[in-house]
Amino acid sequence: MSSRRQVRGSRSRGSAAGFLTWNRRVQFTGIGLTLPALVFAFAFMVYPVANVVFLSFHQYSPIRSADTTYTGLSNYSWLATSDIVGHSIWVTIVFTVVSVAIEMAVGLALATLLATLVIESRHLFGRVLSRVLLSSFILPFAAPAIAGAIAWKMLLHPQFGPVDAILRTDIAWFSQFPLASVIVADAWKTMPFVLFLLFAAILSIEPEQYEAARLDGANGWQEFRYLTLPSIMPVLAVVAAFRAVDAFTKIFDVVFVTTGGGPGNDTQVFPLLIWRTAFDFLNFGQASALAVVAVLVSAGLGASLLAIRRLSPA
Amino acid sequence: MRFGIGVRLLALLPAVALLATACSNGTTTTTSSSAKVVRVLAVAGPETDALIKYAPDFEKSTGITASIEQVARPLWGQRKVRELIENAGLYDVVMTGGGDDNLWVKYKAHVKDLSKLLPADQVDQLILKDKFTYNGKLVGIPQYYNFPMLFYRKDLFSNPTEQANFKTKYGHDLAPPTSYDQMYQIAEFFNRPPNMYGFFIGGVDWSVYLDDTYFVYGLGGNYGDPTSNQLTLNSPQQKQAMNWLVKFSKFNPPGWQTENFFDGDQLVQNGKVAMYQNWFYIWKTFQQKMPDKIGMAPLAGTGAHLGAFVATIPDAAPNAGNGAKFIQWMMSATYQKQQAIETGNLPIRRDVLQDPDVRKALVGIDQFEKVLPNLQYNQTTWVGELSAGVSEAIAKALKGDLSPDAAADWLQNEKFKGRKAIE
Repeated sequence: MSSRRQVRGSRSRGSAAGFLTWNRRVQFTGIGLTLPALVFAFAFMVYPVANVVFLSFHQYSPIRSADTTYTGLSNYSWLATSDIVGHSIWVTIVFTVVSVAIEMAVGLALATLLATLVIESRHLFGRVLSRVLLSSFILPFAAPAIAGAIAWKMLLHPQFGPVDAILRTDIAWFSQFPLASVIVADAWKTMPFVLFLLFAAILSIEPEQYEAARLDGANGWQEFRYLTLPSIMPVLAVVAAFRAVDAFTKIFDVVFVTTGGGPGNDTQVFPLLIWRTAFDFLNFGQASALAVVAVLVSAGLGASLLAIRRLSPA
Repeated sequence: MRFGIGVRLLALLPAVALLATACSNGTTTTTSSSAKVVRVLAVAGPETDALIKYAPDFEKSTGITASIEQVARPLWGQRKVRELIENAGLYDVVMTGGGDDNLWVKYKAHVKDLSKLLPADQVDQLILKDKFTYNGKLVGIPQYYNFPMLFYRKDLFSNPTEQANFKTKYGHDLAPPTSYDQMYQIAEFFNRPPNMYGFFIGGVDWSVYLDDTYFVYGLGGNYGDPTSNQLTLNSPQQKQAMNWLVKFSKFNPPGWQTENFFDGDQLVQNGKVAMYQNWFYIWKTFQQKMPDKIGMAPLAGTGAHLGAFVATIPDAAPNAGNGAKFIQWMMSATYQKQQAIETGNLPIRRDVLQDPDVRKALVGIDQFEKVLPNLQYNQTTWVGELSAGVSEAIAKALKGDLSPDAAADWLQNEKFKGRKAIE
């Protein structure tokens, strides 16, 4: 590398014109190498978002007219007054809050237990057990979402499902407790993501800190409360923010397969409403306005969670 | 670490291959020119599988490669509109839905008049040609006919004890119902939870809308009136249909609210449901798996929902001539016979309907023939949005938020206030 620098240096020392030429070549090369990524980002990220914002101010419903007509804020005023939209946002907020809370609580508990098992296990059995448990927890996350949803539908089937058979109940879970059932199915699917990130965060804490805490007489709960939790809080906040944004904007497949948004509109989450408005009703103007709102809500949700993290003492 | 020139060239090979692929035409069909291909937009399912299975016969006889693209139903709606209204020009043949798309295809789609592209003797063979003709223009050719029928527990209906008990309770014989009152009595009679339930309605929005159509069409109603361009969502027939739906829901197995008619198929096969209305695609399965247990009859009402994929040729089709040849093959007597025997669907041709092999293969064809003249389709151009609204109104009635009559009024006067049948 040093020899190459010398060559460049000698070139640059040759003349001011030579230096400029060399600098420009470097610039052009840089632009050339970056251009494909920029084109890609523009084509698949900037343009679609810009187009959605553009369409949200237009009437574009090709089954009525092939024309795209400017309508100002009418799509936004529609969604501000629509009962279905308000209900869908409420359902999605409840889903997001409860689902993320369950994922964080269960994920944190399991991550702590597994980390303890890994750190404390001195015998072969303990090490093997911890690895088997770790591997098994990845399965729900690795399974395709549709397959997982179908599995839950079969498990909770009111006539043939094993859950009712085991519990000796006669409950139509997805009809009687639709939102709760969908939340459980989704939390089962996404909880491992939380678990593994928190597990890694816990393992990154220096073991000496735990030894020092024990020397000071801390019990297990105090270790968790005053050492583990503060140490992993930054990761916890980011994971919660990430999951909240993800849950709000992407919950679709589980609902689509298990309840279809029903009974009635009881589980019509926001992404499902957007999809229906666009692809069932073919009203792309209104669907775009809904999509813009989804982006704003999720951005606000993520920002507020991260702000809470910054304000809270670590 | 130093690599030899050979290794470096080898490393470049995938990149070169990728670049070459990217710069190529990208066609997957091995044809010398686009004129030798017909591109068909279809929906994934057994009917399209039958087209694909026999398409080599078409290719052999015409020398045209059939590129039949199967899309999932959720994507189909947008693709159809893109081709037939926005003139995308990607496909030569676009399959539309007979029961829900027919009106907008007639009034709005930019499609060729097939009577000018197909031989007259073939077109004359088409059953229900009027359903696909608008202002003298033949806008589409159905691939097959399918519609809902009533399926019931034949073994229970013929059981002497059940017959005697039924007659004692209701004063007439236990037989496939010919009116909704009779159907209600039978559902009530066989409703014996938790072992068996009297009826099944799919509660998921798209499925409950279909059940609603069975009653609405059966009672002689519809969702709109193209002549006056008004919606008819609170007509007497609509209100009666809503009332029947709510009444029959009492005899449904638990959990029906989040199930669809495919779940109903499973429940019937497992002996959990005594009777239900469904498309007769399932008849073949019942015949194969439980021929002694399940019987079939026309629906209790007068009309039935028309089901078919209907082939159209967009005005913007890149090669309309090849599209016409494909449709000509699809409606040929040979293919129609093969398809009827393969799928159990009714042929679209008069001559094939009388073919002895077809009549032998389609058990109960005499029942189908009774329904065929009474097929109906939705008389609005925006069925996707309408059906979601109908299912919303049904949910209100089922929950008791509104009476069935009030739910129908809400649909007409609030939900879709100011909307037109043809928009």
